[in-house]
Amino acid sequence: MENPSVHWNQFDRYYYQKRLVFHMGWNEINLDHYLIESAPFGGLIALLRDDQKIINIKNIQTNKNCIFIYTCSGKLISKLDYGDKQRVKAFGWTLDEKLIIVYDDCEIVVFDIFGEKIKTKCITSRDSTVHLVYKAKVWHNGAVILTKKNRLFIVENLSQPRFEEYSVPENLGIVSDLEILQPKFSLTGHTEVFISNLAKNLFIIDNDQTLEIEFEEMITNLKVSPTGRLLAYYTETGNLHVISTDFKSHFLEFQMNSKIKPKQIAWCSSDTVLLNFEKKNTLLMVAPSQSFLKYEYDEPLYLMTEEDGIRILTNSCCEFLSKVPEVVVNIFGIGSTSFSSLLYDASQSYEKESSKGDEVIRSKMDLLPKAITDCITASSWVFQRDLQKKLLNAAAIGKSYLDNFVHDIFADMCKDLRVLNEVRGWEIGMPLTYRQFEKIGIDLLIERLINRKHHYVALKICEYLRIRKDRVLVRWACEKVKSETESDEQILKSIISKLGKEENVSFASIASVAYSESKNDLAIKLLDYEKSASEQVPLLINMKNPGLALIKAIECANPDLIYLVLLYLLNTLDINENSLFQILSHKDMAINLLIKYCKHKNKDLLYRLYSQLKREPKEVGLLKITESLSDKINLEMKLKIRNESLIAFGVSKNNFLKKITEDNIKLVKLQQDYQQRLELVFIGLSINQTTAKLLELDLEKEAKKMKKTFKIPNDRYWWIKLRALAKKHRWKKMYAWAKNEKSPIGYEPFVEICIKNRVGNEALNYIPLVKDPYNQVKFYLRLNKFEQAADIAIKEKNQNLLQHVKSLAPKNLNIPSHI
Amino acid sequence: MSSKIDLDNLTYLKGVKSYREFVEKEFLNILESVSGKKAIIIDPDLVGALSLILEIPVLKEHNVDKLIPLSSEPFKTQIKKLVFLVRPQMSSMKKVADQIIQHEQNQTKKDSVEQNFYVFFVPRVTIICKKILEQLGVSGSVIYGEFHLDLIPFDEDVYSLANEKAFRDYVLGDISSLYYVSRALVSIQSFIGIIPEIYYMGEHSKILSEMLLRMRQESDLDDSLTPQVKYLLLVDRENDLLTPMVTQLNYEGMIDELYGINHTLVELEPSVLGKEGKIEKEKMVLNSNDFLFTELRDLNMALVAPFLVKKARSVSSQYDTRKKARNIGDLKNFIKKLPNIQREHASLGTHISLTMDIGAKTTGNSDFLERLDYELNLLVESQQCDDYIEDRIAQQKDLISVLRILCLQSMVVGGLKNKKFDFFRNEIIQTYGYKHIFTLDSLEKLGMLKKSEGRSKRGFAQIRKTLDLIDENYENTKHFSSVHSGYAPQIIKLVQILFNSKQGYNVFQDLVNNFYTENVGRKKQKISIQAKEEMKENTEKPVCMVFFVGGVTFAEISAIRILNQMEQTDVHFIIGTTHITNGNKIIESTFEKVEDNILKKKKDEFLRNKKIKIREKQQEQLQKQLLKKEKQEKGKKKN
Repeated sequence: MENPSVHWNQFDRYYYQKRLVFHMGWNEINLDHYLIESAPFGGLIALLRDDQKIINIKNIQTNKNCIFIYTCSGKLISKLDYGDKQRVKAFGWTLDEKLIIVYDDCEIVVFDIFGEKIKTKCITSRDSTVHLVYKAKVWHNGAVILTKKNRLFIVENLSQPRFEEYSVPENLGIVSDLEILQPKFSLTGHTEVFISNLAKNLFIIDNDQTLEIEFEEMITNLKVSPTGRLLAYYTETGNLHVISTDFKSHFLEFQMNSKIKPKQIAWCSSDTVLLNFEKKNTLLMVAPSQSFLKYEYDEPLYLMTEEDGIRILTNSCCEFLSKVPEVVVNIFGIGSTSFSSLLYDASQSYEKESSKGDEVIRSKMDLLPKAITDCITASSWVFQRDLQKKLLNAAAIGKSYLDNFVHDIFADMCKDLRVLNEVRGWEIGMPLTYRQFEKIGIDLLIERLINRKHHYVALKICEYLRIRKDRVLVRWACEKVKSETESDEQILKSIISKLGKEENVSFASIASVAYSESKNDLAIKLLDYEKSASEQVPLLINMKNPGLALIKAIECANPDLIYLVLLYLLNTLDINENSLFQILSHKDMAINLLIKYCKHKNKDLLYRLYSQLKREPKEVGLLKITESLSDKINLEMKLKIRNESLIAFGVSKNNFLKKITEDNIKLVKLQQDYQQRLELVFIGLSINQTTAKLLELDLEKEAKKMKKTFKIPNDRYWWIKLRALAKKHRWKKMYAWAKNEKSPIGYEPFVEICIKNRVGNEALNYIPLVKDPYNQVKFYLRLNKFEQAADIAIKEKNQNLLQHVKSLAPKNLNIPSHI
Repeated sequence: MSSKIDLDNLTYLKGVKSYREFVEKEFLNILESVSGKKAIIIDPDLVGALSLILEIPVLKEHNVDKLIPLSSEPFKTQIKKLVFLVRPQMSSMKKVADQIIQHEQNQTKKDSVEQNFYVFFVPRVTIICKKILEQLGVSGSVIYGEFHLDLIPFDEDVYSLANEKAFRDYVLGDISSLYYVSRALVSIQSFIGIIPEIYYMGEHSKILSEMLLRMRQESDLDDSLTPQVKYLLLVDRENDLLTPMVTQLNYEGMIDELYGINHTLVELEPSVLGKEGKIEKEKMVLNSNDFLFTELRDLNMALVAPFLVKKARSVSSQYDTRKKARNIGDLKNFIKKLPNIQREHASLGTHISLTMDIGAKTTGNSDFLERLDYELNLLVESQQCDDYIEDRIAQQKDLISVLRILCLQSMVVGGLKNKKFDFFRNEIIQTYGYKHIFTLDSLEKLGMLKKSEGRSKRGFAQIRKTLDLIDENYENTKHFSSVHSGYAPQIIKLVQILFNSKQGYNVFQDLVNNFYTENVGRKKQKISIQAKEEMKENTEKPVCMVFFVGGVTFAEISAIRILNQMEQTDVHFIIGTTHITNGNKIIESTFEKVEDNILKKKKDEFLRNKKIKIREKQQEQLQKQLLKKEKQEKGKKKN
């Protein structure tokens, strides 16, 4: 076998290799006639006929309004019909290979590769003006649209698309190119937009500011590097520049002295820039050192920048150009003396049953572990299986000399390469490099395979790598359900036989597909296998089976789901109340929730529900009272409803509630009367408050009437009056009252209330009336009347008390120390 | 066996710590998912919870410009990204919709940058809330998300759903919040492992235990995790509504009774802490980060002051070590300790001021002492206090406190005599208003206030005797009855019996059956064989989470902590709850809140109008004055 290094080109201190990946399977495709976008990471290619090019009329009618989707190996996946009403202004790919299309009326649609619309988002403006696209650009998770009226819209997250608008400078003029810096690369975390115009300006626009840079010549092309750190731009006089995206450093200026505008600029890794000159079919590669390399082609090209190299597409083949990594150079480089190279050679001589290798390996055992990992790493870079084998074989031989080498990296690499070789085959046609594979991860790879309906391969990979396979199975089952050749029974049987024993399988999502295919029976049967009620219930409602939905919702006691069913029942016109009650019967949990809901929203239904449930009449009465307390009805209505509640309380023989409510009705009528007479607010006050208010207004007679009507106990009446008088500071009246009538609550409250209102002199009036001498002393002390306090103590012949008073009194007072 | 447990090394904490980290990280991810400057509009209910999982300055670091409490009031902002953080409740949805619609209307055509709205539900989005938002006119312009904050770590040993409405929902017969309790308990098990043994007492607990088992089937919990909590005991608040009515007399409980503790925060008048001249209330965090508070929180109030005196002496002696320092080495040692000493010093000052204020409000207040007296007489000797209660009503004292002692009496003596029952209810309606017809009805349904049905064998007197609830000697021995000065909280007593090697489940079951409810039992959850083995190898005390469905009081929490330190305990307890409650909150939750809101709204409106009028008047005056001045100046110029 020839040494791999014969295919390397030395360029600017490094080696580069352009590898042929596929011969294209397509026929008669001339890239020149199409606009092309390819998904990153070896993804699918979308071809849209370029209507500015004149081509053979033959095929136009049949394939009108179509985007052709091919694998990298040129195998046709589908013809996606994008509709005939709108024109496509830009398109691109998500990472999991869904096609994003921006139409001329600013609508963004995400399609799956078989033409199903997954997401649609349009700019909704308040004034219903239609925005027309001037320029648009799509990246894997968003899009930027510049409208003809110079408004700039950004969409950042396609799973929940929302438009954000950036303000546009007035002097934007005619745009020559537009480029995006993805939010994950920008300093602000927002998408940044670069726009160059014919007036030699470059604008950098983000969510809250615009930066304007004037150039000496017009910029024709802009391209951000795959890491987002660098920006390459090409000017009208043929100068290529590379600067940093924060515009702080300038790395390269390369003069082409050619006024031909390149069709594409692309990046190979983050250090070399490629220019695709369409008219000459040449590809020019420029390094930071200004050295350059020219590749000549005899057919049109399309360049796709990848993380670690560049994919080159022509009419006949797909190539991959990338830097040769150092580990590989060390092994295969001519004259390399690295130990990994020696190990590789040694392994080759082993093959020839020579013992020379053994000596070589034993000569530098300390370098062996690194050499082994180098061979493993190198195997990840090469595409040819026999070369991979040889490198891994070298690693395996090296490994056998060591006791403690961690086997895992070797085993993992073998597994990963097996997976990669599978998807790199012509059939799947996804030329993933190992580094790209690391970057997108196995989950996304599986997702892509499922999207392309390679369920079997996806499943086998999951099993091989021992990762969860429920996703693959469910998606397979969803396809299976759509089958028109098999009967429901057969479909169910084959799904259950494959998925029945799996954990975490969402049968609801399969059932939902069955339902949308109008296979209701199959859907219900599938739902029976679903473990999670929150998946079952919404679907059952959709299928107009609320009874079963309610049973399932109650089974898992999830109030949210129960509400969902209830709301459906209440809002669906073709379900009458009787069948509602029937569905609800004996389902307490649902009934209680309905009652709670009705208390807020639908009182009438609640009464009927109560009577249906044969609830206690007391509850009905209380419900009436709640209703009567609402502020939405007038007083007359309130009294009417309260009167109705009396009947309910009478039936339930609840004398207390009946009496209280009768009292209340009486009270409200009295209050109504007062309110009219006195022009003051009474309604809403309690019996106590009403009485107090009357007393405050000096309407003693009315207050007495309240007392009589509502049988207010004497004690409480005294308290009410006491507080009312104190509130109005009617101390004289209070004293006269206390003297004329005997207080049933004692006179302590009188003293207290005077002290509280800071009228100590008034308080003194009542202390002699206080019965308990100890309390008298206490009050006198609080008022600093030490002599009076002492007098009481002496009168009571209480030496201790006297002592206590003396200890508190100021020294200058003449308090006797003995009785 | 040593009675103290080194909290840092307990295995249950490992799981719980990783849960705490998970929650914090999830929240930061939410903040990052909304790029750029943003304002958070938050359910007031959640502010406290948020402060428990991260420091407020962290918000600034993540571009949060404003934290605005959720209400229907309009506010203006230039910020383009509004993030709502709300509980999935119907009432909150109305406010969210009001805000979004106002902001959308405020956007003029010129200001064409769309405002972005994000609504994050805590802990989960519900279909009904989305529906309601739709009905209210909030359309596709909103991005929905979830923040899975189920159980909030209030402290190392206390986990709460902080669902203050839970109890009221049960009162109204709505047990849907049990579902969320169950979700929370399932999700915490993915951090602490599956809890192998579940005990329950009470109707709601029984339903909850069934939900837990079912939900575990639905979710794919990892059963290979070594269980860090061995037992889960579910208890219903409804089975003991008597204890919360009793005044809490441990330090933390007392603070709660007097000032109210909300999500470990207590707001104090500045005068309480001796900071005169300030107007704004002082916020103080009460948790185990304050070492002194950790020692104080479970103590009976009578022991707090002596303890503080002792502590003060030790701190001043620590300061004195400086004087004794003989060489640079000693001094260096002292300096090293200094920050700790200073911190302790500051904390000591705060707690001394607080204790003094509590003293003035309690032992220095005859009202409080009188009430305590009646309470104890009821608890110890079932001595009734009708005259006292009647007097309190006549004086129109605060209804909550009146109902608290009335309900306590009713529960202690097994119901009021027919005549008395009607009398008190009539008194309450006449004094406090007709709307309390619902309060009384709810209390009756809960069994807190009822008519006596003759002598009952299952009455409190029997429970008191059988469970030996009264311990007059609580001050001398370390016993959890100290939290109520001699009355042991019933549930804690039952917990002690259940996990006592001499008594155990059978005794517990009989007692619960006899005195509380027929809904008592136990269930097992399957765990993997490997987990079983690992659990066997564990030599630490097994951990039990006591979960209170419907609320737990601070006194009960303290009682459990004291139980942990008592000699005979072979299990280490931690606490879970729907929320932390007390007597006042329970009584208040029976109030129907229909009219109050409207009255308040009207009042607010009135005040606002008044303010506007005053302002208008002021402006008028100002203009007049200006005119005058102008005229004067003109006059001068002419002259």
